[in-house]
Amino acid sequence: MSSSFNNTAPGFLVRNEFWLKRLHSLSGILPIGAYVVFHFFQNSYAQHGPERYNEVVHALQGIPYRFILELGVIALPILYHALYGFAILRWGAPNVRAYPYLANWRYVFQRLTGVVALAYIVFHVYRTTMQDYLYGREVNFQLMAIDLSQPWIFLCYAIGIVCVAYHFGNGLWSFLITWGITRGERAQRVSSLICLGIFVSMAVWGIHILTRFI
Amino acid sequence: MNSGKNVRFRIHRRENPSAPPRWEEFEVSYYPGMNVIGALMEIQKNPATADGKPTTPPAWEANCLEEVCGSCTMVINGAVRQACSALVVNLSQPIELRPMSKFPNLRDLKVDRSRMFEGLKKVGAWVPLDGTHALGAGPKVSPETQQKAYALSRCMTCGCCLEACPQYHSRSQFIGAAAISQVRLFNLHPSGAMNAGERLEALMGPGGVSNCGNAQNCVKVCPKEIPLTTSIGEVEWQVTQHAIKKLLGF
Amino acid sequence: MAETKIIIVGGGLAGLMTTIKAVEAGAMVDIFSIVPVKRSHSVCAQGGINASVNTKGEGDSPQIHFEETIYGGDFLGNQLPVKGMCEASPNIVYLLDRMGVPFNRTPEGNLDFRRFGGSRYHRTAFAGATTGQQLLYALDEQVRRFEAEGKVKKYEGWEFLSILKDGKGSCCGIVALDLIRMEIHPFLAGAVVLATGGPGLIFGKTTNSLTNTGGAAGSVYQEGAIYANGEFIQVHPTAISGGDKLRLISESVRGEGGRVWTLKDGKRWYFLEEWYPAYGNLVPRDIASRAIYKVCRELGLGIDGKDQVYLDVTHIDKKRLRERLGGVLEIYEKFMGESPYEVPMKVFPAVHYSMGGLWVDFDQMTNISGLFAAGECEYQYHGANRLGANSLLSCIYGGMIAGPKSVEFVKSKAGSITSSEVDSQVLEQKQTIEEIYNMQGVENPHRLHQELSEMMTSHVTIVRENKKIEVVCGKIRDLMVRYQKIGLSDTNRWANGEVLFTRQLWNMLVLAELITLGALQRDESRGAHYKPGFPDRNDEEWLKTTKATYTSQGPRLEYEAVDIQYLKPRPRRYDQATAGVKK
Repeated sequence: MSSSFNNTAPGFLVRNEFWLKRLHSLSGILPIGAYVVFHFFQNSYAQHGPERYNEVVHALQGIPYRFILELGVIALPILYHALYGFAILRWGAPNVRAYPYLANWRYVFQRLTGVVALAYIVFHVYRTTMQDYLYGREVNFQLMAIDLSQPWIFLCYAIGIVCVAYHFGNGLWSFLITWGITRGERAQRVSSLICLGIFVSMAVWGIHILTRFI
Repeated sequence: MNSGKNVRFRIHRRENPSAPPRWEEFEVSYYPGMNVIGALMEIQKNPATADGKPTTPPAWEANCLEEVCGSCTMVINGAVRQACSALVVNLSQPIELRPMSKFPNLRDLKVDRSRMFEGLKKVGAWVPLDGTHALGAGPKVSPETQQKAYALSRCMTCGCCLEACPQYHSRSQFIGAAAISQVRLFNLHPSGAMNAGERLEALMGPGGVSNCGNAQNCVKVCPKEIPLTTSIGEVEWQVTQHAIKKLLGF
Repeated sequence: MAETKIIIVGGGLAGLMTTIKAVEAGAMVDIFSIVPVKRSHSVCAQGGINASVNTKGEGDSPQIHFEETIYGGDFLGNQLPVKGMCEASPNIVYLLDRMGVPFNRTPEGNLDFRRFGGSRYHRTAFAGATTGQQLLYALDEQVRRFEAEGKVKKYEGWEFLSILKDGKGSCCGIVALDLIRMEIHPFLAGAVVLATGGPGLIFGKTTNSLTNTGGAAGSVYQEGAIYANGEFIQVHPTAISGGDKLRLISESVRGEGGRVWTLKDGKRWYFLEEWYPAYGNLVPRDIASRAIYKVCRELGLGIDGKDQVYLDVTHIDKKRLRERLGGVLEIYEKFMGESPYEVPMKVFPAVHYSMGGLWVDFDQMTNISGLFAAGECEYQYHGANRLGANSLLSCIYGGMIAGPKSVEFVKSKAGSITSSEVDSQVLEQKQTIEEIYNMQGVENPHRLHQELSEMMTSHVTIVRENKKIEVVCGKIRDLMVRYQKIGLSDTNRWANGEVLFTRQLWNMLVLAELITLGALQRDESRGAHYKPGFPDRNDEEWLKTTKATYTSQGPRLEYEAVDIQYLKPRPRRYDQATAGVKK
């Protein structure tokens, strides 16, 4: 057969792509998505003032098995999601110019926001948690307030949060199809509206939290 | 038939797969109801470029000319579709004709779509019969199921869904929406369903359904309006169930 | 034991059914097809497939189906094979159903049937209005399964050039050309089955697909195969005009209640219903085509003074239309830009089908030993006029005979060919192709084809007059001379369609000549063959099958008696019901 794709023995990634992809899809919602919501919620204490905020942060920092939890429930899933995300990125050939349909744009944005969100998360973790691990600096309201008072950092955070919100909202829509939960055209349309709502709410919520630090 | 107007075409040319592609412009006189195939036929009768230079008539694929065989699929003014149902009056000029980009270009507008037929083979897109001897009537089917199956069964393996899919290209092994939708079709049939597991296994392998990126261009460009994204969702659900059963060992 | 190898040329319904049956009989099959088999012309069949399953309790039976088919074919069909086909039809439809063809259903989940021309029973099973496509896909799927199992090898994108013959004249394989690489190779087999479809393209713009040149039948005719009843060309009453082809609007549209009318004195005139009260809009195709022709050309009552009448479904429930006729109404809408749900369709007759074809015996074998034929390329099932929805049936039934019979033939009587015989016959084909490559004249093959087809359509279709046919005969000879002066516009040694078209054009000219001559000789009117000068059927002289043999001076015509063992010929009329009625 004059096939156009190469017929060399498939590598690990290709052989196991079904399970890897499902794991990728799942990891985006559980634990990553769930953690993001929790993280937003926890930071919402900023509106109750520095003391209350610091109390909550302090309590969280004191939870048992913190390192293992941070590694297993947050860092490793994000690392996997990001690495496999780059593999997915490599297999796509966007074509919005020829086919400028809404879903096709969303496909592109999903990939774009994934990359930006990752960069943001690295930056954010460096400016916060890593300050504690590396320099023993206490992560608290004041640290955030100083950072966010610099306009460029505020802007980075705002862009990052919007991208995270989009990637999560649109990713949820995609997750529902990937697992076969939304199948019909109507179900997919309704879920896309709900997910749009989630994206907008998360973005507004996140930026609102940022403003509470200033 | 000639109403005095001319139609201008810009056509992708390539002598053979190793020759460099180039473009040629053609002009044909318009007649009412002219479609892209009609224009290409006029060029065959007088193979010369717009500036009068003799050339070879472009090679293209076509057969039924009524949008049921899928042969004449090409990229017309940037969008993939069948050339027979592309009426000249609805197209802006010069009308640009390109071969589909996702399949090896054999010559001019001809491509090799055998990868699609290989995909159908891979997923076992058939009802495994005991034989063609007389075994009586087939299973009863409700009109609702028949209407659903018929919509899926109109797929003519034209390749529009793959041409428009950002996940389908020469570097990916993705089997594409058409074959996934056929899995849904055969898993829907009472006796076809007996081999549903094998088809789902095939779609869990390399190039399977997990390559879908939900760009959903497939359903937009399908000339037969097959609910391809519903098929993908449905097959994902079947695969989810199959995978869970497999993990739990039943 | 050496494997039994069958070569099948053509991958439409007949070719694929032959393949399935041959594989089941233990053969290995090579299929050759110009296009991927899934794109064969069978996809264009719309309305359905006949099977007298009698699900409506009307008392239909294979016997009535047989009687109506013979009567509809004006008694020219050999009765034994037609009877066999009609008796097999219920099981054929059951088989297709088991393969997964999405036939429309009754509320109880049974197969639904609708009415078709020339019958007063609901006998036509259908899948929307793309039944041919659905049947082809079902067979294609079964063959793909055999392909995956290694029992079938497909050569898609190959053109049949000629058969290979051993010293005794037995067919031992074929010579074929790779349409991309332009290489010519021999392929050996114990038997060859041609399932290459009809020669519609001789008439240019028709309801046929572009591959239906009759090229393969024309080739073997020139190699000594007899061609039978070539003059019987079916003109379908309802098609829509177009610059590239005439698109079929299925008879099923009338089967579902569509009505044909035109305007007379400012009022709607349902002329078919008036002239043929017993069958109305569902008279056989030859009758309906002649009626529309008469209304437009003789009475001058075409819509807007043009060659067109209305085919109207606007009075039928839209949901029902969509479920049962969606595919064909969609074609009208896409190509004409008007919704047939809202406004009546404008239609006119178009060349559709060839009742004639390669002569075969009751085992589907041609007069060349080892060469079989099935489907539209042979002549056996439709007499002088085919009833709607019998073509899909005859394709499948022909394949069901040709498959096992060709395998049987290989096991008992296969010829054997020496390598030097193969070499010389391959060389001959290479030379023919090389000669075409070297044509440097002034004629364009497509323009010659246009001249041929316009002339054939004008004079050798619905109404045939000897004077005009004689002129056509002469002009075909002229075209054969001008053919030699073709200048090839493309000399590329890769995917050169011009070379192949030029070769096919020659075969079309040869077949056109036998069609025209057959029409000239037959001084009577029977089925689709109508001569105003001889308006009646003449059983005494012409209840005979025309058999044409190729000679370089033109066709030599002989005649053979028709098998009428079951039904005695009687006058054919559709104003009263006289067929399929219990007396």
